[in-house]
Amino acid sequence: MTTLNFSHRPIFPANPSEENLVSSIRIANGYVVEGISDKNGDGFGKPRRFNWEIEDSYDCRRERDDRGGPREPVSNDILDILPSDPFGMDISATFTAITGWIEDMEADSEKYVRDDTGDMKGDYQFVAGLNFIWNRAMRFQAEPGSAGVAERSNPVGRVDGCVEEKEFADGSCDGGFLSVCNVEEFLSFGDDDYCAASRPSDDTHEAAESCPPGEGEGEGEAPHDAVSFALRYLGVQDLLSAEKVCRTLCSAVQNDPLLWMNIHIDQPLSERIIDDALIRLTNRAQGNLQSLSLVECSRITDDGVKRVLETNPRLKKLSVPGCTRLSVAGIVSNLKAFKSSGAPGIKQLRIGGLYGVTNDHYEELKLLLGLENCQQPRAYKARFYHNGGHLSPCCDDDRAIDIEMCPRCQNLRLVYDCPSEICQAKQGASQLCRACTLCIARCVQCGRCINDSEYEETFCLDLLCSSCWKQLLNCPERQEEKGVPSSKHTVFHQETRYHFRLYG
Amino acid sequence: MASAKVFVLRTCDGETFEIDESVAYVSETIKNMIEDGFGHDLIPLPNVSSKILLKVIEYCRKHVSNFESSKKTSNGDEKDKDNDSWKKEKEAVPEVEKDAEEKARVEELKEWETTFIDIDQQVLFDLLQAANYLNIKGLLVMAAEKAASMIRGKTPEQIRETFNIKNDFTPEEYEDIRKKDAMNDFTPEEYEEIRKKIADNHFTPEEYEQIRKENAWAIE
Repeated sequence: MTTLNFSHRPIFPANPSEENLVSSIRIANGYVVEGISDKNGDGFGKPRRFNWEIEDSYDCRRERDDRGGPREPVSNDILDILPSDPFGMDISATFTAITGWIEDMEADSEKYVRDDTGDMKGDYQFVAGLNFIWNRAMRFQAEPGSAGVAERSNPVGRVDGCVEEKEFADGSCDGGFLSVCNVEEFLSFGDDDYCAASRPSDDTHEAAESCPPGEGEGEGEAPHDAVSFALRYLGVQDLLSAEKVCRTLCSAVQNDPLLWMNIHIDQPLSERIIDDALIRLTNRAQGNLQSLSLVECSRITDDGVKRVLETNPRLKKLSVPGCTRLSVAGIVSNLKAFKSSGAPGIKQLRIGGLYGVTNDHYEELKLLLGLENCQQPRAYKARFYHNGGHLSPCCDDDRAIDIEMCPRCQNLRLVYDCPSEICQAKQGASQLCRACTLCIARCVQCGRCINDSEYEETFCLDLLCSSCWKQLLNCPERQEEKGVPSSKHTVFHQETRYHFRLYG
Repeated sequence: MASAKVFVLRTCDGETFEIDESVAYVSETIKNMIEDGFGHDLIPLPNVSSKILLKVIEYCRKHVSNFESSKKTSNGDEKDKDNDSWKKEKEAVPEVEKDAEEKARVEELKEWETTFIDIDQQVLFDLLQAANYLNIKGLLVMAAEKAASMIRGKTPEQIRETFNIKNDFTPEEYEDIRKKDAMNDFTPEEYEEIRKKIADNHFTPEEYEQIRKENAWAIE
């Protein structure tokens, strides 16, 4: 961290240029005091109101001017240099916190070029930044010593980290991201290194930073050439992680179309991915995308699918189970357009989980898939219900379309066979135990029908047949996954602990 | 058994190794060189060190002996002596009949494989490169899969640590990647805004990385 220099420096210009935004902030103790007392509770929109001076070099070894407060020996530790309260104003909570933030803002803006895509006016950001900082400061003053302020706005509730104890040039992290020390650190004014105290104990990473170093540690080297061989065996999520490792891998991931010919998107990316991101990923195939599988990607729209189809004429397989924003009508029209654009067309379609499929839709889809007017041949292997019905790509079979007409309700849905030997022996050719899950409830684990037999309902409202339930009771780890409720069934195993986990 | 023909390979550090023809033919590259008539003298392998070649030869020998013993237990189809049989055996495992000998063989092979590939990172990567150069598909697949398993599930920082890779992005480049990250579902303007908001929370770089993965982009 930098030091504070309390010498008299010229007040920053009234209209800071874009380049000099934050470096022109000057902090002077006396004026700060005025500023605070005058504007208690207000947001400070105009930079000119504050006359702050700060040291705008990264040299940690500047001596302090004798503005009051003890002269500390020169050290890297900001706490040694900060005055505790030279004017008896009890402003430790606000002043030091704010100067810390502004120093970091300054360091960031000087160090990092403005983003290409940043369309914010320099002034706006400067003012917004200051507003932001002053609003925080005011909240701080209102609640002195409240260490919890930062925590409140933390979505994950972990606020105990701080800037690393490195050279300041490295201290700001993550691509221009503002990174400031925990305010508690300023409040505490401990003798030891202020960063060490609240370094998170959950420290699976080393102290090596994840932010772009530029001038960094000089650790590490370029990846071995052979690492790129391994990329072929990685899924999308891991490829995206590898992309952020270094330039070589980034280039390998982004520019090798072979890695992107079969894209399968699953948790956790499925929750977050939006149309634009999907297009960016599919474009990496450079027109050679063969299969696209989007499992429960609830943010993808029909327009997104349309754009993917437009740029990937070789697409053969499209699988969109559980993508709730997609409509059957949209799929039909997209496939129609796809076909008429001259592409060979989709040969396999997976839309299980899309609701409202009418017979007309079904007929059109069969036509588009090349099935004409015949039913799909019944030679396909049996499909069993398992884990919510979403088949992983490797378990998928060759049928052109996954949904069919349920023999019982005549709706177009996913239809499951029954793995139970009893059912298979009983029905034989007539296959009575074959229907959608609305008609025949099934165990989520084994897929057996649960008609009159005993079953249990899990926390996630899935059904388990009695034998799967018993198996689950014998296996504590799996109970967590299945959402076993803690309230019942203590009679079975009194020693077994029950956990359940909410799926966010 | 293969003919008694023997070939001599020379590594980049000057050492020579003698191997049988059947073992040599596991490598498509060497096979091609021999067939093109270069087998009479030393076969130079300037890209391969002796340490790595030892491992490669170990693999090739195992491959050949495994193939030989599988011929005995199965119907003895000679049809492919090449590298695909390695892969095919893996695929064929579920369909293998409950022949105790066959099962034992497969089991033993798996164990051998696990031990074989349990090597230092540096050796693994050199082996991977050598397998690529020598065009030994089974070895390439095995080594690449092992390397992939070392990457799977890790954050970028963890990957850097594992392989001692330097983060050589400029801040702008890194920012650009983050912005366009598929996990990032905000528009550029929203992104700027949220970045500032999150600046409020004093994350360390590691936490930031961690939290990004855990859906911290949500606005409260």
